Formats: sequence, structure tokens, C-alpha cells
Amino acid sequence: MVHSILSRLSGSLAAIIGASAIAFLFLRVLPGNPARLIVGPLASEETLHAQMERMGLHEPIYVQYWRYMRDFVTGDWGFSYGAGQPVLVQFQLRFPASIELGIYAFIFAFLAAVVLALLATYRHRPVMDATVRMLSIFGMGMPPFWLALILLVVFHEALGMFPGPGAQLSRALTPPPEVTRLLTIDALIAGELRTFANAFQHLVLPAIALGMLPFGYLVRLLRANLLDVRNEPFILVVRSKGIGYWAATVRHALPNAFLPTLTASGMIFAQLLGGSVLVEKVFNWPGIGSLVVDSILRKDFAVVQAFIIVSAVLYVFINGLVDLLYGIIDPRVRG
Amino acid sequence: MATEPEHVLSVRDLRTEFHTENGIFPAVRDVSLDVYRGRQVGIVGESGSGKSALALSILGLVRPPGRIMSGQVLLNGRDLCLLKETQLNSVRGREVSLIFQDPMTALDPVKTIGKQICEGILHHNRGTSRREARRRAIHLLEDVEVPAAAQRMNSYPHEFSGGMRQRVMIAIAIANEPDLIIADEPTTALDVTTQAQVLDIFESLVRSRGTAVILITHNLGIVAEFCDEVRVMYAGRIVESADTRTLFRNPVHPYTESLLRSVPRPDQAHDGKLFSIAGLPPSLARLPAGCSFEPRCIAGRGKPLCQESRPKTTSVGEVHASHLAECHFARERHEAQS
Repeated sequence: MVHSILSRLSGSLAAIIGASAIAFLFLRVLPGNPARLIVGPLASEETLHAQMERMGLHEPIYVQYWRYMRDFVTGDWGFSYGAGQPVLVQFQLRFPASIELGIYAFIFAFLAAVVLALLATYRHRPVMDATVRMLSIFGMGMPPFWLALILLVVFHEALGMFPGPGAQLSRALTPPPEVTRLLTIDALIAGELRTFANAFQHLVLPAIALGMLPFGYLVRLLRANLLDVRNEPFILVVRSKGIGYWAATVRHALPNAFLPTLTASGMIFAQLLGGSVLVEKVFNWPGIGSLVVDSILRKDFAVVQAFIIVSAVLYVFINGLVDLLYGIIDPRVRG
Repeated sequence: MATEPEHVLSVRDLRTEFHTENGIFPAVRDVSLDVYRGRQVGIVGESGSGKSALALSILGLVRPPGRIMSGQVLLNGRDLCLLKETQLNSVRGREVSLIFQDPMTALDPVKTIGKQICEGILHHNRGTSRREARRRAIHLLEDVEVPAAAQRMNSYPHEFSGGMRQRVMIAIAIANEPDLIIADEPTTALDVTTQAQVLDIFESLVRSRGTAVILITHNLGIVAEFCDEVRVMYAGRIVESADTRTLFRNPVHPYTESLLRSVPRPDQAHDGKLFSIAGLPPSLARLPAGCSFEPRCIAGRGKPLCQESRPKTTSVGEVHASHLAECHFARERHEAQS
């Protein structure tokens, strides 16, 4: 047991170090000098060299890497020259919005996938099944930014059901005191239900736009798994005890159908938490995705690097969580 | 009428068809079957002869594209084909239950054994507390001779051997003391010694409780040991039915005779070669116009009568219709034997 935990932890650490090293290397090898961007195109060679000196760019790359990682773990994530802010501050400002959107997008994708997969496999109804399969293909094939635009045009412009882009909360409302930095959660903690409802409304459209693709993938996976599990003899045995169709499905088929989707769900969740450029752009969402893209365009190394490391940590963490969940749901894994 | 034994199950002209893209497969063709209280009836036949489809039809658990087309399944006098799903759910597990062939896949891998036994008990006994159900489940595990029953309640199926799992299956099947248990190849997946143990436990339990059993198998040895009566199925029909002793001594249908001859018998001399039935069973989608066994028959192959017309069920028994065979030559063959 201890051995397996240790080997897993060292594997996680290796993954994070590997990702950070590769990111570091690639960003240095790319053409363009970040010091030049800071001092401007008209600065003299002397000024440029002085700036490179200050940034440590003249040192061998492994020294740069070592220094960077040492600073990173102590909370010094570098300085973003593009934004004129420490990277850590930028992340604190932008990451929560992405995480919140990611969580809601995942909840939407997962719940919709479960419900529709159940409907698609209920008895023998080819029309329902075909509809769900179409939705799945639609979800996987639709460009999220385009879906985002359509959602805005229909539900914001035409029907006025949901608020438009540009904010996480209506201007009339004051944000709740910061605890988790996730607006809906903080609103609930502060007991401000109106703020919660308002923040939630702002989340609906972007969450759907972002969650559509994972929904399409998950519903397909779940549908296939449910059909497989339903043909297992143990479902027949459960039914022969007198247990009805739905009870047998919810109690026995669904938990078994979840097992193979768990890994995929974890990956999807990690990816959603990492923010999405296009959807964030369309909704003008103050998330991490748009920050990273802007930083790439500005050659703002510090931000991109920090993002890659944080993403790696996120993936590793969620994978660990998935392993833990497997142990809870599947007794065969516990061993 | 007092001497007449009481019916538990009476299947009348049951027809189950599978409507697929490749055609219609009548897996059960107008089958009638009687099971009396406390009697053990074996159903034998090759794979694909419709044994399992018959079992699932009785329970009303045939899955699409399969469908019961016509006929009656009278369980304790009530036609299950006319019941609604919710009514069936109160019959299944309480009046009739199922033991499935493959113990490896017949239990939910992510639920404890205890939960899976309690599920049926709680379903049919509203108002039973979980603790009471658990107590009964432990008793059931003791009945099927699972060692350390109380501790094993919290184990998962993968922690059990095949034989132990099949004992758990038996415990689940007898949990609500049903009148009829349908055991579909209950010991096929087990090795021979385990097979004998499990079957012994099962037999003593059903005999002591007076439970009727339909034992579906292709193992004639198990039938000889366990069953009071035998039905032989071929291509969706019951082609011969008799009590076990009669069937083994005087098989009338050529198919039954061939089946018996293809089993090695240590008490009889052999010339070294075991008999085998030539050919394969016919496709249910394209049954011959005449007798469905004609192309493989030791008695009637090539005979115009067998090729052209389907044989009727003929009684050859001395006592009231106890020995039936579906063969044009049933009478002749029976007389030739005696």
C-alpha cells in the first residue's frame, strides 16, 4: 500500500517536472527575445544586454530552469512585463473565473450525458436513441465559439433569458466577500441567494457552450457502456429478484457503466478547469485562457510557463482523485 | 381429483420469437410444459435449442428483439403473460426465481454479496428492517454452506470462487422461498467436484422445502441424478417428455436416443468410438417443412413422410399421457423396444 502510494507520488512529480522542463525549453528555443520586447525596438544593444542580465537570460538554460523552479515553489512565479504585475497576482485574479466556469461546464456535461444516455438506452426506442446519437455528434462536431455565439444570439439577444457577455455578475450587485474566489460558492457562503442566482445566470450560457463537446463525448461513452452492462447476466439476475427496470438500472447498471468513463471524465474535468480561450473570448469572461493566449502573443514567458506548470499539477491532482474514486466505486481495484 | 398432483407451472402453446434484421427466429415454438409442486424437471438439448429462451419467457424477461408472441404461462394458476410489469415484479423472486448459468458474471461486481442477497428480501418483504434482512441473509449463506457466513456478507463477488458464487446465487434464488426455481445450466461453469457439491446442496435445499425446479442443462448425467422428469428440446420444440427412468431406458424419439448414445457409458462395451449426431441443428429462421430433425435422424432421414409433414405429439405411455414424443414413428419405435 505504502509502496504503491510512493510510486504514484514519484510518478506524479516526474510528470510535473517533465512538463515544466519541456515547456521551459520550448519557450526559450522559440525565436524572439523577451528582453527585446521589454526594452522596446529602439533601445540600444547595451540596454538590451543589461535587461537580459537582469532576467538571467545569459546564463546556461539548466541554470535558468533550476532558478525558475526554485522560485516557483517558494511562490515567486516571476513578473509579467506585459501586464506589469507579478504572475501570481494575475493568476489569483483570473484563475477562479475559469475554474468556476469549468466546474459548471463539467456539471452540465456530466448530468446531461447521464440523463440522455439513460433515455437513449431505455427499452428499445430507436427514435430516442438516434436523437441522442445526433446530439452527441452535434456536441462533438460543433466549434464551441460558434455555439457560444448562437447561444448569445438566441437566449440573450432574442429571448433575453440570460445576461449577455462581459461580466460574471450584474453591476447592480456587489460581489460577496472573497473566500474561495468562486462567485457562486462565496455567495452561498455569505447567504446571498440573489447574488448566487445572478452569478449562476451569468454562468449558464458559457457553461453550456464549453460543456457541449465533453457532453457529446461522455454521452456516447456512457450510452455504449450502459448497453454493454445491460446485457450482463447480473442485470438479468437482479431483475429475476423482482427489481424493476429503473431500480436495476440506477442501482446496478449505472455504477458499472460509470467505471470506464471515470478516467475520461477526469481528463475532461482537468481540461475544463484550465480555461478555454475561444469561449472566454466570446463571453468576455475574465478567465485564464484568454490571459494565456494574450501572453503567448506578447511572448510573456513567465505567464505561459506558470500556466503550463499549474496545468500539469491540475492534471496530476485530478488523476490522483480519479484513482481514489476508482478505489471507492470498484472493489476490485482496492486489492 | 385429490390424487391429481398440483400444478405450479403450466405453460401452454408458448411461442417466443426474435425479430432481427436477418429474419424471424422462433426460439420457442408453441411449447407446452407442466411442472408439479415439488417436482424436478430437466430440460435437455443442444445449445440454441431454445432452452434459455424458454426459461426467460417464463420469467417474462425476454429482451428485445425477442418477444412472446402467443401462449400462456400459468404460474400458480395466474397467467404471467397478462400481468403488468409492476405485478410481474412482485411475482419474480417470490413465486419464481432464477439461477443463472455463469456465476462469474451473474453477480454485480461492485456490490457486496450481503447487499445482493438482502435486495431481494427487502423488495418482497415491505417493513423488514435492514438488520432483519441481514440476519436472514446470513442464515441463507449458512444454508448453502458458505463458511464464515457473517464475515462473507461484506465480501465482493471477485473475492469468491466460482463454486462459492454459485452458492450465493442459490441463496439469492431461495431467499423468498419461491414455488419454482429455474436453474439455467447452474453448474456448467464449475469443475466436476464443485459441480457435485453445489448440486448436492441445491438438491437438499429444494427437496426439504418442496420447491419445484426446472433444471436446464445439456449434461445428461446431472439430469439422471437430479430430475424426476425430463423434457428434450430440439429446435424450439419439446420433442420428447417422460419421467427420467423411462426416458433413459426407453427413449422413443430418435434425437433422444442419439443424445443418450453420444454419452460415454462405462457400464457398456464400446468399440472405441463414441456415437455422434451428424450435422448441425437447423437454423430457426429456415426450418425444414417436415420434421426439423429429419436431416440428422437415424430413423427417418430421407423418408418422404418425415420430409413433408411435421410430426404430431404422440402418447406412447401406458399411464395417462406421461410419455410423449413428437415423431412419426413414435408408436413403432416404442413397440419395437418392448
